[in-house]
Amino acid sequence: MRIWRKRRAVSSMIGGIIVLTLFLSALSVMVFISQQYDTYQSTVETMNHNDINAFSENLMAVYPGLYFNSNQTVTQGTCNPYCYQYVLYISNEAAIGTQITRIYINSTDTRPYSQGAAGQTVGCGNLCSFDSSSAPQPFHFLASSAFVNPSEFSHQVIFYTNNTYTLPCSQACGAYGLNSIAVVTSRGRVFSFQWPFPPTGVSTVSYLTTGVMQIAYLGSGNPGYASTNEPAAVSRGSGGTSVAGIYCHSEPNATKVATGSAYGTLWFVNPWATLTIFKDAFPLSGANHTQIFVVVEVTNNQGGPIVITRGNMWLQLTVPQTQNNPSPGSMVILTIGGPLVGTYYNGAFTIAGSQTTVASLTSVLLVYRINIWSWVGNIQISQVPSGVTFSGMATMTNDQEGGGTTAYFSGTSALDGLYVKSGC
Amino acid sequence: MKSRLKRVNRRRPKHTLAVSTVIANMMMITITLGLAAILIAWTGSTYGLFTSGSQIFYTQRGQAMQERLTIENTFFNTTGTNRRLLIFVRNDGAEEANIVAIYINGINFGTTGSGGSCNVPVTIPVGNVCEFNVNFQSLSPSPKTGDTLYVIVASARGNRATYTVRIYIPGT
Repeated sequence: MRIWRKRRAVSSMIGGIIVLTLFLSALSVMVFISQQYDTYQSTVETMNHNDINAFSENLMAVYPGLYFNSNQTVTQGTCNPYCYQYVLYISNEAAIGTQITRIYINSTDTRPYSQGAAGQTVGCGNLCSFDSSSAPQPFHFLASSAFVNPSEFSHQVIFYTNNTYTLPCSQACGAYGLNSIAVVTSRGRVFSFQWPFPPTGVSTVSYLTTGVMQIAYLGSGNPGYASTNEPAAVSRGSGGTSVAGIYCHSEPNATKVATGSAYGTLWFVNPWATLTIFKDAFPLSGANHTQIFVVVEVTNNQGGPIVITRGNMWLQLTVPQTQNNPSPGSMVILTIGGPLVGTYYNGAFTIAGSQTTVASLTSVLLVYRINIWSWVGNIQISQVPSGVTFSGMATMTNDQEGGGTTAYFSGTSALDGLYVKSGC
Repeated sequence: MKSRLKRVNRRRPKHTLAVSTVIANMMMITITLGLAAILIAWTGSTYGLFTSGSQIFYTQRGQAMQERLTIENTFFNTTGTNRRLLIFVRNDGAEEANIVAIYINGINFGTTGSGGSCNVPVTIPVGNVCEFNVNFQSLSPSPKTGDTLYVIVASARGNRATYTVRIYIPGT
């Protein structure tokens, strides 16, 4: 009865409904915007997660990088009459799987694998791109080999060229870096490397091998070789032993050039032994010492080939220091007798006098011989042309002992000579 | 006289209300509802604009966020006097990307040369790659080996993929 009398409840309800309507509409708008914002944030989170995954990828090519065998041909699919097959060796250093979507290869050299075989289109000078394919196709890689598992080592990705297209240096040619290979992943990362791999040290060069080198020291002249100077164990050596009056220094893992030459098999000399040789053995005069060779590795970074002959002025080793008092830390060696003994290139030793053509972006070993009857000084290579990079230097000796056939090592009555002696 | 005055004074209070109570209440309710309707309409339109605007904003930002462009390789295809750069652009995102411009050193190369698989503008589906063939001969000064090109590939959503490459022209 009071309601009908006062009539306030009606206006209160209406007012309340209006206020509630405004509030709910505002709330619904806020809820809607929040939903939109949440959706956007989830997208941001997803893309950030994808970025993290992408940055986690880490593919690395492993030795041998690419493998090619001319006998590995495929006749499936559109490979007509056949395709050459390559295998890309790659490791996944990350803890996340990686899908390869494309491979690019750009060749900076146009030599065929067979060094001039007829009908060979050579290299990817115009950039080759390889997409995935479920079956062998020219210039495709197998989709089944595209995924690299987390932490997988030496994963093999198989790809194909056609029957006339090969990559330069597909078979060992002594060169490196002729092909730039880029591997693209599904997350947008690009991993690139050069193949054939550049050498990381003399021991990895294909034309070198290892063996046991025995160095014998005879006599005890003045000053002579003192065995007390030799440490018990030297790097890559086993220390000295005395056999039948001959003091022997053994290097079981010595590196040698596998291919023989007019100077016998050449051995890389342990740095310690080298210093000892020069310090103790050589100052004594005489012609009855083992030959010591200096090996210099240079790389041709010029755009074209260079030709090495014995007359190349820049191949001369010069000795600016003319006294028998080398500075500490410097490499002490006698002056060089001949300008150039020979070259090691493409797995072959070429006697100086013959020309050696060194292709662009390849390395060559230059071998010099030391003249024992001379002064002491530091080694320098002078007049090196631009584009030729000095890569390294080492000393070598040969495997001739007393009575050998070489003119520079003929005596058997050496007093303080150093021998590389197999029977030591 | 007295009786006449009393009669007049007694009648006056009966006619002091301008409208009846019912009509007044109805007018008040009508006015209130009218104002409320106007207010709700105004707020509704405002909220509507707000919500639709935010929806468009977040949708577009989300799509732009999901767009990922990668310049995965470039290659100089220079024959004769042609100075052409092949640009390989992949869409690694979750949305298709509409490429609208390619800039090289700040110059828009809207039309690409022949030989590429794509010309701008072009839409790259998710996971696909486009090969743009850009003739940069018109750059001034004339490009030569050793110069640096700064490449920008722009999408319609405002994303950019950048790449810096040093020119190598064989024989120069």
